[in-house]
Order: sequence, then C-alpha cells, then structure tokens
Amino acid sequence: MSPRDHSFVRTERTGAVLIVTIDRPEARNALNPAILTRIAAELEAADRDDEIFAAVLTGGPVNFSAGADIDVLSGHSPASYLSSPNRRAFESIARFDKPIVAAVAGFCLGGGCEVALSCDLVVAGDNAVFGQPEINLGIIPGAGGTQLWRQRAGAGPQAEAALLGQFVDAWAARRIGLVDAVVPAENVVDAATEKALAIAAKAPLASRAAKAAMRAAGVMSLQAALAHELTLMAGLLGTQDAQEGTNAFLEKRRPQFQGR
Amino acid sequence: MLQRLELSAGETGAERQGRIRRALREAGRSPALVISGSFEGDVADARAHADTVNLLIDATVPVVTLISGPIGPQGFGLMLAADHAILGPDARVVGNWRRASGAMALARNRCGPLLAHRMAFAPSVDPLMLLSDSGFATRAADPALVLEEMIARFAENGLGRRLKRSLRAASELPLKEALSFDFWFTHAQDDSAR
Repeated sequence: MSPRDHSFVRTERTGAVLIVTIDRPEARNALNPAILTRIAAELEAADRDDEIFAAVLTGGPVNFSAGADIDVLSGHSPASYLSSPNRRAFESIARFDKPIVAAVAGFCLGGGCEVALSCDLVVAGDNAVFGQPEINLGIIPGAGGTQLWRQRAGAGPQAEAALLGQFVDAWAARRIGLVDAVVPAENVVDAATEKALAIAAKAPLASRAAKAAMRAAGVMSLQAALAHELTLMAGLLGTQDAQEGTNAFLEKRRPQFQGR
Repeated sequence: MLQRLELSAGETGAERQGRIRRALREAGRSPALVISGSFEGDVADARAHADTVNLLIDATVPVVTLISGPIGPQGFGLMLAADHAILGPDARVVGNWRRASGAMALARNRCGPLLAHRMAFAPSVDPLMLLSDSGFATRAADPALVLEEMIARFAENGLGRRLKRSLRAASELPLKEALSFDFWFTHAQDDSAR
C-alpha cells in the first residue's frame, strides 16, 4: 500500500484496487468543489492506469458524506451552477469506466448519497443513513438524487427520498435494495475492498465491458442495449483474457488475466 | 461507568422521550443503559411513545429495564422495546397491556410468533410469565444482583454492544447475510490477535 495524501482526499492502493477516501471528518466529509474535483481527477487517472482494475470510494468508518457544503450551494446562481466544477465532478465520477464499490458508513446524504449511488455496488456499515434532504432547503437533488434511488430501489423509495426527504437506515436500505450488503461499520472499508479485489481478480476487460453493458439500461431501449451487449461480448472473444479464461476452465486451473 | 435512567411517574411522554434520548447519547462507553423507576401509566401521547420505542430499538447500547411494581401499557411497550427486562418480585402488569401501541409487534419480534399469539389470544395469561419463559425477562428475588452479573458480562470487550448488533443484523437480514455480518467481528479479532 502506498498512501498519497491531498487535502481532504486520500488515496491508496491495495493490489489492483484504488481506494479513494474522503477525509474531512470535522465537517462530516461535506463535499466542496475541491474534494469533488480531486475525486474526479483520481478516478480519471485510475481509468487510464492499466494496473488498476477496480476502485473503492469511501469516507471511512464514521461518515461517508453529509452532503454538499451548504454555503457553496447557496453561493450559486442558476447559470453558475450549471457550469460549476461541482456539477462537472459529479458527472465524471459517475462516468468512471472501471467497477467501483462504495463503502458507506454514517451519514450519506444529499450529494454524498448521489456519489455513493452512482457506484456499481454499495456496501453499508450498520450505522449508515441515506437520504436526499434537499427538498427541506427548497431545492432538489441535482446530481442524480431523483433518479438513482429508483434504479436500485424502485419508484416508492425514490419518491419518499425526493419528495419527503425521508432518511433510510442501513437495514431498510438493504431491504429495499438500495445497498448490496450491510457489515459492521468499522469493517465497511475492508468489506468493500474485499469485493473490489474479487472484481479485480476477474478479467479486467470483461469487467469494463460488463459495466458498459449495464450502463446501457435506461439510456438505450432494451433492443439497443441487447445489441450493444452483443457487440461488447463479440469484442471480448478476440482478447487474450477470453482465451486464458476458457483454457483455464478446460485445464481446471485458476485463470491468470492480463487485461489484454 | 454504567448509564442509568430513573423514569418518573409525573413526566409527559415527550419529557420521557427527551430524557431517554439524552441518556442514550450520554451512554458513551457504558456497557448498557439501565432504565428503572416508574413503568406505570397509559400511553397519553401516542406519537411520543412511538418515537421513544423507535429510539430504544435503534439504540446501539444494550438497554435493560429493571422493574419493580406495576407496569402500565406505556411501560409495557418500553419494556418490550428494550433488550432485556429484570423483574423484581412485585413487578406486575396493570391495565389493558394488550392496548399498548406496538406491544404485539414487539412481542412477536422479541419472543417469536407462538408466544406472541399466546400473549394476544390465550384467555388467561400472565404476560410477564410468558416473557420470562421466553427468556426475554428474568424474574429475580434480587434484581440488583442479576443486573450486576449481566453488566459484568456485557462489559467484557464490549460484548454486550457486539451481541446487540449481531441480534439486530439477525432480525433485519436474511440468515446468510446475518452470518456474514457476524463473521466480520471474528475477522477483526483474528486481525488484532496477529
């Protein structure tokens, strides 16, 4: 592991997994433009790094993020928000091409919740609380909070979150499918890293292709998404990893994927 | 240091809710929150009562009720929302305890469906006897002594809090997921032993 420190965001590597940690405990990991931009930059770099196969995004075992800094939000006009680094950073976090696992403990609210739900898998600590309280401020979520709950949990929980600002604890979140596992909060980063390492042990090109295929849901019609899936699948057949995977299966050994 | 709270007969539901919230917040590293005092009275403020029950259910610290004397519908609900009840020789239910809001849901969650049905429908039933039979409550000639033994067990490496979290996971998650949840505690112990 080689930790690299930047203000309020730390990164480290465990095997082929990049762990990005929001580290602003005195503000319950509230997201400001510097933090969001740094997360986006780290993920963009990880996308280009051939030795990173998956990522974990976390705020550590106490709080994931209590949301965006309210004073930053209140300083925006309608025009300035649309071109703000905040919005661009949210977009590039959601665009990350490699599999990413959110490790969520404590408060996961507002923008923090939107960032977590834009990850592929969400592991929650037993102290986690999810919510979109924006409606209580006279605004609405602006980075996916009116869409991402529906994808995971359905229309009812989406409406409860967006219209009522209702909070959901880790247990309820698991029940409605908002999160994929609940573990003791102090182990949330380890559990998410374990999942990310398991993903990283698969063929990296296939993992990226699977993510690209899954993303088509909601963006394309079912027919187009199926055609897209077929194209991605056909493309993988020419890779060394696909050859290695089938050979290893026939030879009853563990495959050694290289990402080629 | 053990966190204790003495319920007062004259307090309103909202006052009681506030005091329990504060006691839970101040529980810090206490092995448990022990609630004693007056468990008498009806539920006068249904909203405050429901919020108090939810507070106790969500508490991360084990909550033990130490009860002597009469238990009214309000106290009955609070007793069931805690993790365990230690009943003195003179503890007894009074009033229509079946009407305590949340009582049946809690009874089923705490004691299982058969005992909860028996509690609800059997023609003549002593709920405290059922709760003792189910293991949720302990009837004791010397409640303070039982409490002392229980707290000593809870305090050992934060065992009480850990057991509470495991039980919560077991009641909220499917079996395999609850087992995975629990395995993380062992993981952590193994790591610290290395």
